[in-house]
Amino acid sequence: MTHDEISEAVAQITRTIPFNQVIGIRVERFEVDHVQVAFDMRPELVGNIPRKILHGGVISATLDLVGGVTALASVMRDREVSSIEEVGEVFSNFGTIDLRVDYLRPGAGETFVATGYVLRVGRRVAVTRMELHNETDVLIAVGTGTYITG
Amino acid sequence: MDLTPDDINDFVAREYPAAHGAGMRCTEVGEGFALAHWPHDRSLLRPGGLISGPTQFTLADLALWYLSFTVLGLKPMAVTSDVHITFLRPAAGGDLLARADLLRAGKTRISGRVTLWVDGAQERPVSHAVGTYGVLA
Repeated sequence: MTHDEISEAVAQITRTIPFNQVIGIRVERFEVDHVQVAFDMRPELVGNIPRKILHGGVISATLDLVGGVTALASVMRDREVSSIEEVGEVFSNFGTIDLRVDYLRPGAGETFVATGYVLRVGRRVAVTRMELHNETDVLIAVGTGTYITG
Repeated sequence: MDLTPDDINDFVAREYPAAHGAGMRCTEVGEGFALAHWPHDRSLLRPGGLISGPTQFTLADLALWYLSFTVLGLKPMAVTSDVHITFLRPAAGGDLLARADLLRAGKTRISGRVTLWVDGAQERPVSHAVGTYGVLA
């Protein structure tokens, strides 16, 4: 598969994960050194009704996902795959070992973008750094994720 | 910002001699960042010739303290509230450097991210930390 085909496969797999559908996450960028996902504010995602800000669980779940997809992008660089099922099989062997989230500012906004960067990818474990911004580029939260990759 | 590494090192030597005595120094400081340096010391290496985790943690914590000075000025009573460190690969063979970058400066909390590497290999970080300093006074 070409990089673009793998990228589309990852976007499709991510869309089919039921919990991601609840949040409405979409993969917007899938590069080895830079992964980006986004979602829009909806009433179901609010954790503080008077202030209309995101629930912390939505933030941590999104950072966890973008960290995992970032690790996947690095792992896929060295793998030969020929179908979306094979991409899904690689991803299904991933698991979060550790996730650290710093909530820096209230999750206010209309659209949220989470980006992931690789800190290190080893043979079995990957470590990533993640950030969540809103549409005005306010940094809402940062995370560090450690993932088993197979 | 007029703060210089010498200002910070003189301040730490005066206010916290133990940290200064360990040889750790601020070597660069600017708007929203600070760089801390640990001179290689064989007596502090762990088995395997590796720079120990506590040494890395101490330098990361110190870099965050330096970072707090860029926000508050040279005020001693910002204290560690939380630091989380992830060790990425073995650290060996040279001096250790830690760069702290500001994530957020609030009224009572200053959060930053720290990347640590062995001198000459900045592209291969040995650890990564995120931490918060609480402003007491």
